[in-house]
Amino acid sequence: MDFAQQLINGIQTGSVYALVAIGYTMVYGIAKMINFAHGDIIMVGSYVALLFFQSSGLPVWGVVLATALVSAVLGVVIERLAYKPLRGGSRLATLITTIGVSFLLQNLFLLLFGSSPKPFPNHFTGEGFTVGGVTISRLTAITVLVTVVLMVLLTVFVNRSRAGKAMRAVSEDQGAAQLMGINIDTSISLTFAIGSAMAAVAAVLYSSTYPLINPYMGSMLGLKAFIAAVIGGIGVIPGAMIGGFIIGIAEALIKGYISSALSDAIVFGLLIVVLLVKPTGLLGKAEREKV
Amino acid sequence: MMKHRRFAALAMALAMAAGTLSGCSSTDGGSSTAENTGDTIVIGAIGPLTGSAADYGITATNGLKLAVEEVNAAGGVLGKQVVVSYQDDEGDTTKSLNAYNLLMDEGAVAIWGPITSKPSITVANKAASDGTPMMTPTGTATAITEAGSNIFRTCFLDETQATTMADYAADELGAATAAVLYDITDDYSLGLAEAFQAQAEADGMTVVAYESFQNTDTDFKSQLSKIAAADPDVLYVPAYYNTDALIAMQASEVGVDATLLGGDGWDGVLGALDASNYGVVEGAVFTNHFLASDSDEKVQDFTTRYREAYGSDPSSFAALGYDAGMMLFQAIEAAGTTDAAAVTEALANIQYDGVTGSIHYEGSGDPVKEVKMVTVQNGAYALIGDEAAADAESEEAPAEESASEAEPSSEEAAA
Repeated sequence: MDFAQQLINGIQTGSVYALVAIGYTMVYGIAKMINFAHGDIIMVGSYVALLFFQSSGLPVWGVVLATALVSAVLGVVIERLAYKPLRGGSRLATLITTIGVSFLLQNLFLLLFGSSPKPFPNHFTGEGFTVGGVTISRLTAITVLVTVVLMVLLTVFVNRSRAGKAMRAVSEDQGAAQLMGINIDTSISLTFAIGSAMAAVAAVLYSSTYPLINPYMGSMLGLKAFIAAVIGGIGVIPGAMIGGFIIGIAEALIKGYISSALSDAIVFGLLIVVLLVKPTGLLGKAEREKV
Repeated sequence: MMKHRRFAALAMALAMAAGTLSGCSSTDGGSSTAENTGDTIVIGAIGPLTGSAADYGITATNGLKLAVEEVNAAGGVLGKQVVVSYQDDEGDTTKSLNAYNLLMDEGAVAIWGPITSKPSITVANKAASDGTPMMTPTGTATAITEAGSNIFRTCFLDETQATTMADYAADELGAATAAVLYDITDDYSLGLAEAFQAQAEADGMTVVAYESFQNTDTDFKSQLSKIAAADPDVLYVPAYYNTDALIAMQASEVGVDATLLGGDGWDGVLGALDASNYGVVEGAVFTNHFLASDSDEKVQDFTTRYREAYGSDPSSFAALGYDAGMMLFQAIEAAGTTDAAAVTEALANIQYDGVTGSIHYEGSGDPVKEVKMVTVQNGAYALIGDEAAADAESEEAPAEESASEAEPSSEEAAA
């Protein structure tokens, strides 16, 4: 019973990691870059959602949609302004730029909202349910459900739609894709938009569970999600999902049964072990199709 | 692929390094000086007025300023006006000691402060060898008053509030089982947890779970699930308000139905929660030095004057700063002289009735005073056993209004 409860806790955190990890993995798969500002998009999403909740009177789903839209636009704008001019240049330059954007966002929000954490409202209240002695709160149920639905939709989109096909083509070979008449810029922008929108949904779910938001909240969450993406195989969408759940469940079980002080050390250790045994990650295939 | 791996490793290293590269800066604070002329009495005040602990120092000195105003308006001490020289120690031991030496040169007859524990220990040792009477309003470290018989403190010890809470759980709540969830990286939290556990067991309770977390954690569900499975009557969480808010939230999510208990770090917990989440701390009980909504006449008077002067509710730091000042004035008046030995003697025998309760000393510099028990009721803080306030609230104030009124500024914290 206790074990089942810890498993549920892990799946909930894992869901959020998975949603965020998708942003890292898609961007890596298609634009071949690691976007360290992605974690901060979650932070921005949380503040935007807070503002919508406080002043718009929109229902919860409306706030989630509006936040996703704002974040998607922000993701695209960042890509156009900061990353696109560096495309084709050194990868290290792009990487450092992403860290710069991350600092810019953190300090901008520090200036705007101050460093003291802001309370976040809970709009997923109501009775949870108990199955065989395991308590599942409404928030947990909604988080897991939303994550699974979004993953299914994304998989269908990437595999079936025209735009999804274009994205896969860009991922496989940018030059050839361009020669076939695919607009690379559009595909990359779409990738950033989807990744940022997912991060915004994750932001609302995460901030409802841990209802204090601050300008630095994205750093650790982003780092964990990045590890999830690497463990699952960076560039592979189902890998991000599996990686997210592995990290979430591992954390919950380590805290529950070994030591809360060691959980981060063991999770980061897990990354090293996976990279040593299978450098491409669990689902990664060496130098083959990505996304 | 090898290249990709190196790239990823470098990326991670950079990200981690970036995280640790946060700098900190400090500025020299201005200091006011005062001359000890024949018709004034100079008190030296030391506290962090700038730096990371500035909020504590500023609110505590705000309280002291009110005390000085009050005593001077009433004719001063020994017929002379009181002048306070405020010195900024930035929470630093060296600067604190320098401030002490400067104040001695200025002719201070007694020291009010320091505010934080480490500077307090340092200054206490110097003051003990000089024989200067010293009163720290808020320094909780045990070692401070062990320095000498002329060193006093206004606040109760951390240990006292933990044992008081354990007694309350056993006697008033009738708890048979207890759980503890504390911050393993924080001495304050660790100290309270250990003292609570020891007293709970002495009171015949069984501690069914003793779990820890780290100060950077935001997820406590694993520990709380274990606690929920152990099903204790009470859960003691000795942490600061931001963490307390997150823990209370997740405790209700994983089905912990124990009464939440805490220390003075809980002061401010409502400010860290959105009104939609107030339910998770409803009925929680914590120990504190002071409560602004206390119906006691002295407290109401102090709160009103503080609001007029500074535009916010006084925190525990402000109240302790006020009481520390008033005790020094009362002791000098009682001694009839500013002679250090006589003032020390008067402090040791003081009977003081202030905004943080009645205080006297029994053979040590640690006060004998009551610990206030505060509970969260209808989304507002209420003093347990404060019938007058409870009646007044149910008669006039609608629940919403009193909730927003009682919300403290989230900068406030107790050390």
